[in-house]
Amino acid sequence: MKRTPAFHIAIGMVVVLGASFAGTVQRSGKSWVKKSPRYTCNRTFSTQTVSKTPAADDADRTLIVKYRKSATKLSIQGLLTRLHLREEATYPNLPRFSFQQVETGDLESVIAELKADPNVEYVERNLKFQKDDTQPNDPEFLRQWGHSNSGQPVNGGRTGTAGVDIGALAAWDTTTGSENVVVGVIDTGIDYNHEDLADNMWVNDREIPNNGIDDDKNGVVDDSYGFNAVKNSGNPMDDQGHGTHCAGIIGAKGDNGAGIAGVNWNVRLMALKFLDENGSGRLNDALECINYAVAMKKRGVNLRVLSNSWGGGGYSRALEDAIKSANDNDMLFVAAAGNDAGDNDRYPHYPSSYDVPNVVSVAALNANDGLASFSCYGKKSVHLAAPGVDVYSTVPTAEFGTGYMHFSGTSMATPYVAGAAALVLAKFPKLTTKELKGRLLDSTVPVAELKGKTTTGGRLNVAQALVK
Amino acid sequence: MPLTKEQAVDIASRDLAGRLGLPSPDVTVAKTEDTQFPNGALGAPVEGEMAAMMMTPGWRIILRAEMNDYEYRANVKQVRLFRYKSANYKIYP
Repeated sequence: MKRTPAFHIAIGMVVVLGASFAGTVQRSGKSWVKKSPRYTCNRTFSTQTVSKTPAADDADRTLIVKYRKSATKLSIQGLLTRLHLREEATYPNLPRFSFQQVETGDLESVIAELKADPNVEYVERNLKFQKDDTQPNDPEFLRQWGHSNSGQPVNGGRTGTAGVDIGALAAWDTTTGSENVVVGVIDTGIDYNHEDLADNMWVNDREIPNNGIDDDKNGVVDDSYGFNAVKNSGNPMDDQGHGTHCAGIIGAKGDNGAGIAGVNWNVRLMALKFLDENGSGRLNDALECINYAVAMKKRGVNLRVLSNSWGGGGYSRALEDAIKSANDNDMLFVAAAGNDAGDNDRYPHYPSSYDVPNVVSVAALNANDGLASFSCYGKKSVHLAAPGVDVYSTVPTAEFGTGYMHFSGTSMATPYVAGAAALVLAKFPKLTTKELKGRLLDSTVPVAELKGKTTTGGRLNVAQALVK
Repeated sequence: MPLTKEQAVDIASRDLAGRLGLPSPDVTVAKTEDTQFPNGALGAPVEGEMAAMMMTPGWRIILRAEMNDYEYRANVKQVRLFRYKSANYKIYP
């Protein structure tokens, strides 16, 4: 081909334009951040023309909006005009997404109006991600897809779907938990000597360990770590494994160079054992554990969350009243929805189906954002879903010959929510139980398979729950 | 000591024979299969029993006697009779 002067000029223009473009892009950590000029520009991934980029202090007034398929250009424009929204960008390869700036008006009111608008599928605040999300140094952390899912293989099998997790990395930029928050694990007990749990165990500092005396006169001798209703003793050591697994999800010590990280790197775990070595228990022992929890709360222990990965036994007014007592004492009661794959709206599963304000009923998700095949659900009676398939966590080494294993069940999803509640309380300690539950449910991420299956239609997202 | 599958089958067979008043050889094993049960009670809770909501590996044991099938559920720690005359029973321990 003969190269004309026009050809060389064209090449020169491409070079100049290319250099100009490269000059506006700088690498920042793991992601490319595109700086737009302050005035008119065309973003590479959008055909929108923007007048300026939001200033740093405007960033908190930006939203991500997804429109429904039925939304028309006319209806969207009307919405933008009515709510004083400026569309900063759209994403041609992510249909119906829009990045918007709230120009005037109260942000919360605008969000509420957007959520109520029939053209809008959902709206999210523009989360701020740090260059490096806070990641713990626990060597087995990558097995915990529920905390951080980058599409890694799960339990040596199928790969997960990136982003299908509780948002732990982003959440930990805000808080990694607090030793001032106590979570009661009503279960088979906890291996309080486990390398990854010992530092996060609640310790009854009014008891002198193993002296055979009820030092604090609460009716239980040597209850250093909690209570054992099966043997009516102060030793809630786990002889089955389930409770230790749940405890690890809530609060395995994080960033300690060992094992895994809980949703809370730091927290205090109270062991309340009523399930026996087979993982079964009776009503009277469940009542004893709740009674102990309420008693310790009245004595000043900041016990705010109860994690209950158990169920069955049918309706019990006594248990319902005990849960109400926990509610009266400002404790969230998180409970497993059950594993019978049934509709809890038609066939209630207790205690998760008790209609008491502090109850949160949890279904199980797999690593591909599907409702677990075994998980119960309920449009009216199950609130949200959390990771519950092939969840890696702590187990008593003496029972299993190893300190960590994968388990599945709504049992595993429940402590994810209980852990998230504790993490939120670490940041916002003055929240009432009602406010705490509201925050957890209002911040879920919509999941197609959960629509019509849970009240929120969504997956737990603790990062969103921590947003002010 | 954890139960083996064979031990669980033996416990179940002897239970059924005694329950039906039959000599042991009249109870045969129709099928055993590895399976996942929905909870710590192997999906066979006795009345009022509560259980851990964790998928629990174990064995489904189908025994046959007098031309009827009976289902037992077991794992390394326990053996249960499932829906015998509309009720569940803990056989072992």
